[in-house]
Amino acid sequence: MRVRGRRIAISRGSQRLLAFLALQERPVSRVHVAGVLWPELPDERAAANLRSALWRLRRSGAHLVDAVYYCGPATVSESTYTEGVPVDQPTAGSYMGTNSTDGTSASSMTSGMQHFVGYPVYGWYWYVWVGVPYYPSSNDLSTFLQNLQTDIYSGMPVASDAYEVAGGPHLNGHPTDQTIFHYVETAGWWNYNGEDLVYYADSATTLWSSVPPYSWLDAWTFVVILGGRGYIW
Amino acid sequence: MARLSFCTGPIPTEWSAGLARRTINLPGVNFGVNTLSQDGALAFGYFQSGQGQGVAEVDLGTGRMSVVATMPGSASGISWMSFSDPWLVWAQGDSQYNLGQWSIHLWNRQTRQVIQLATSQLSDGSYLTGQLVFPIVGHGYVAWSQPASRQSLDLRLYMVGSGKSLTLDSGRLSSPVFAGRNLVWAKFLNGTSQPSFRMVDADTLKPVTVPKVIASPQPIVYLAGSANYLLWTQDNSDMEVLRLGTDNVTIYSGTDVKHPFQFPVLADHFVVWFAADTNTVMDLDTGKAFDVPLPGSVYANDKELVVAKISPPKAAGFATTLSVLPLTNEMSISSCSG
Repeated sequence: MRVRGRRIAISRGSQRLLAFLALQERPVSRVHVAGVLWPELPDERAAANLRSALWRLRRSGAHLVDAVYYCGPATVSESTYTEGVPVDQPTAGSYMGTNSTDGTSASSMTSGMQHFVGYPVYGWYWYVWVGVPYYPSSNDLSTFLQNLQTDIYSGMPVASDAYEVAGGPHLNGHPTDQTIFHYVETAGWWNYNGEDLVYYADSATTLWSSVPPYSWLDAWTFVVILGGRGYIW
Repeated sequence: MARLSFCTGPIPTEWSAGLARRTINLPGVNFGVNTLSQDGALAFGYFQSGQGQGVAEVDLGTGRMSVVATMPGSASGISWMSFSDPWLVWAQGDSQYNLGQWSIHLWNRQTRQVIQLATSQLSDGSYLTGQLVFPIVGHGYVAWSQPASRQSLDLRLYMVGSGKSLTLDSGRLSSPVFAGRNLVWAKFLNGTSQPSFRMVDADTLKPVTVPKVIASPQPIVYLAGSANYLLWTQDNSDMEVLRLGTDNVTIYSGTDVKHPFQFPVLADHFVVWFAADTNTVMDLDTGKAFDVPLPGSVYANDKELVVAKISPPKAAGFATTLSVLPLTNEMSISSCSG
């Protein structure tokens, strides 16, 4: 497999998993994936094989992020591999004016998503910024989910701008007592047993990373984390 | 190998009553409890107030808070802390935009001196984005996994008495923990994605044979250790615990998206962790747990559980209420809802 021009060796189990996931039109549960890929095994064993395949895929280097740049260019770059013209992080960072002091501004991030993802795919201005209040309401949640679903069904990723504060909810793997501004690519939604979940890719994964590259999170929690910032759809 | 299913239920009545019996109010400050002294007399953690942010100590007997160190407004806060009298070590996030940009600081409670031990910056000026650090202190040294290059971390030790440093291991390493008599960390076998455990005697630093029962672990992400247990998480949804001195390994599974296994802290036969949208306390004997809602933090050691409830995030004004519950070996969490 090649990722961004680099040849990456992945295990047979991870190859089957990748191929299966690539053919799905909707998010699928772990239970379903495990049952399809390992039908001959008991549930627990199939689940263990899935965990192992996922973990090996993550550690194979398929999602290693260029260590030089920050989450804004990383999210744009990841988004271009979902849709658009693939671009590396230095190019995205240079275009958006990302710097070590202030990261990437919301307006620059919107411009970056537009330039590298929206315009190449649709030929017109797809992306806009939506601010989320410090204390989101249920209307803000509904609007976010509607917008997210619209983009997902169009095959377009959403860039979410998280504002995590000490003692409040955080993205998976982010420490509780830190204030963190962070962009993530949001590319999935699932209503599981009546609860809305959001699927996102976190670029902050590295050598021995405690930050998972992909996570499901409760949608309300996710919107609370966006509170005071917003998203680009 | 035993298996227990994770589930959550209400906080046991006696636990709730115990937490309500002993409280400390800290007006004007948000305080997150990050570690405790071994005797349970002191809490250490991150604070925010109208005057700024930093690290503070709270005397759980008198309720008095004193500032250990301040940090600039551009810092993100604390990712990890460890205390072994008189030494307190913490990892400070130095950027609100890059999880991988941090520094490690060491404070002596007797001299009140703070020194910086390390930063995460690589020799070319860049950082390993997302590479967090979990420094520990004990047995006369501070230990942590230090980014050495884009492909490698060094297991570094700083001897608090002499001020000398040494590198114990290199490669793709986890952060180290103390478990029983040993210093333990995980490492990928060269050129593979198969993790393995490494152990040395915590006092002599001589290699120790890894127990056969954990010779070929499943994926390892987080580690935690205590006098009686070694714990590791496979990913967010499974956790394994070895009872030290035995071949008893228990797998805990069945967690949900609201309870990812991350940042585990062992306390007697309990484990406490920050689960992104809640804090959770689980009984290792039963797999049953209860949540402590945000905003705030929870920490525990073999002596006690401390809950810090703070004023709502992103709000004006700061206030914290600490609740302290002594832990005993007889306590348990024995029921789940549903």
